[in-house]
Amino acid sequence: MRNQTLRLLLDGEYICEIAHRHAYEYLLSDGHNQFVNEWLDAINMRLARVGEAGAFFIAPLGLSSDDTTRIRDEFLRFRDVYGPAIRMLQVIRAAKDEFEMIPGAYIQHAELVQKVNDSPATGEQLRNLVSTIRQTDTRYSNAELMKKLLEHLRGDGYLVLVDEATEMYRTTGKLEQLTHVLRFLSENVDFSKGQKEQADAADSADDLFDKAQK
Amino acid sequence: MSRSKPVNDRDQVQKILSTLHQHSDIVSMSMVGQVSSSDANAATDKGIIALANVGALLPVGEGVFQLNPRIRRFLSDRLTQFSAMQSLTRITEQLHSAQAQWSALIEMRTSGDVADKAEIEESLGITVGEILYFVQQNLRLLNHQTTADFGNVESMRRKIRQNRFYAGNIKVLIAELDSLGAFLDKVDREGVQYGLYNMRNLLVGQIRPQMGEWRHRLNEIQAKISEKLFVRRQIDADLRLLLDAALWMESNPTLNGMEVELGQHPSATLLTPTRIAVQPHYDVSPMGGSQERLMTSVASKLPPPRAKPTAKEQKSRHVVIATTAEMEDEELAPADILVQELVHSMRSGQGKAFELLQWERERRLGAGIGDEEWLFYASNQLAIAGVYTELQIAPTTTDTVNAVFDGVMAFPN
Repeated sequence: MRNQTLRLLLDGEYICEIAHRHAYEYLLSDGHNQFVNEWLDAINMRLARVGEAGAFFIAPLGLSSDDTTRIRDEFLRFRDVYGPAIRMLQVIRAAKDEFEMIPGAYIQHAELVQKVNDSPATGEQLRNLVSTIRQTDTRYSNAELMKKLLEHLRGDGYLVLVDEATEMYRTTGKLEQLTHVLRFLSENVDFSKGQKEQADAADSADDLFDKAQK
Repeated sequence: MSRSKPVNDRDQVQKILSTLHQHSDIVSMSMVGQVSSSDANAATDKGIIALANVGALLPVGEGVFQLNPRIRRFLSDRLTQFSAMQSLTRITEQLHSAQAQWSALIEMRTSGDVADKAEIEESLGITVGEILYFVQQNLRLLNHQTTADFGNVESMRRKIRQNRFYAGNIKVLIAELDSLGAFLDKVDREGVQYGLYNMRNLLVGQIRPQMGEWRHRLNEIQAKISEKLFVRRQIDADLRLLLDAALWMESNPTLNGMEVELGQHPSATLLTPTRIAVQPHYDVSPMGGSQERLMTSVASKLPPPRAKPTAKEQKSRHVVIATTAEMEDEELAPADILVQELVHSMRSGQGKAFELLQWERERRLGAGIGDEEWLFYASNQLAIAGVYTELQIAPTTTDTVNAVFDGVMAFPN
């Protein structure tokens, strides 16, 4: 497991319980964490986690000026870098009432398609993403588009396919990285205007999104 | 305090338990739904009727029965099978009974009428047992329902709703424990006052030592629920972040991104890891017999090498940017060195016309260059270099056709 885990880290993967369960358990078991850190230290890297108990990933020992430049650049290109995932997750959220921004949430293709077919507004939201989702065409049906959307997110590491027969997907630990970035932005730029007012009405959160969708 | 029971009663208990035991498969079946006698075989049908006769199954329709809720509750408690929103068992009823029974005991003590004292004491004992059992069971239920992340509900949202439900239930239970505490204080006080020491010890001794632990566990569960409700709010907040980001993109269609001040020590999580490419190569250097055998076996399976196609002329465009002809200094022969020195000497203006034969004769002969070949070679080389030469022809004594020369004069320009 050691080799696979190290390879996953070098590949830039986020290692969470859902996407790479065995590697995740390997890193959690005693001593392995330290070994991996020592190994990475030789190439000036370290084992990092999203938050305190999130997915593992590889990070530089210390962020260089090149690294901070890259972060800044990614924020300057926010729409290109994070925009697609955000818009696609929005569609999933609109098509699935119970959707949570947490790793491990189940998403079934058929369930989303049914909602999209029943709700013209959600269908339109999906079709607006034709140019964003990889390998799509306007002549595709809602079901085909939704499948491509899920596969796009899978390709980007936000989802894993857990059952091919039922087309059941699950969200991965990479979702927490996106959340972390969005939280950072909400705290540092005028990005989350109006969020505070919404937070005050946390108990009626069920309606917030529907309200915003109108 | 104990009261002897009629033998018949005991027989009844045994009969009921025996029936339950005999038809335990039907009892088990009825735990997960209703049972119907219409689509059952003869043995099952007989069992259903037997269970219905002892009140273990209750009719709910034509030939359809369900398990007695008390038995279901008992089995669920034992098996820790709690329904999603199962309420806590209220102890208020038992508390009221205990208060009434205690008041009755005091009244007997003051009036002196002790006819039913033993019965009331036994009832009070049972009530205390019920209170203990129900509170313990409630704590088990709460612990089970609040610790599992999803437990017996389908989603986190419903889980939170369930936690809210239990948060309300706990408040009621705590209020009941307060009432129980007040009642125990009263028993403690009046027990001494009216000399009801046995009952006082039973009530206070059995319940009070556990009250502290119950409260502690309830507080713990309350904290857990509160934490989970917080997580819920956090998740809502995360979804709002997603919404905010989407709204920002919609309301700023001309902006691709934003300028952000990262601060002194930005979190590494903001930096998405990039792939560090590792390209493995096989080490073909001999590392021992086994590896050599392996390599030989692999090589033997490889297809024969293809005939190398003739190298095509590259079509790429060549541009000569600059070039200098590299001059290689040729190593001169001794004769050439002598000629070179001779030309140099004549051009430097030192020389006069002189006999070629005399030029560095000793050196020349030392290098193995004879007179005759020197004269032929040097006169030609000097002529090429533009030096005028003249043959020294000796006067002929014989009648020969060819003139004979025995020297060459070289004239500087």
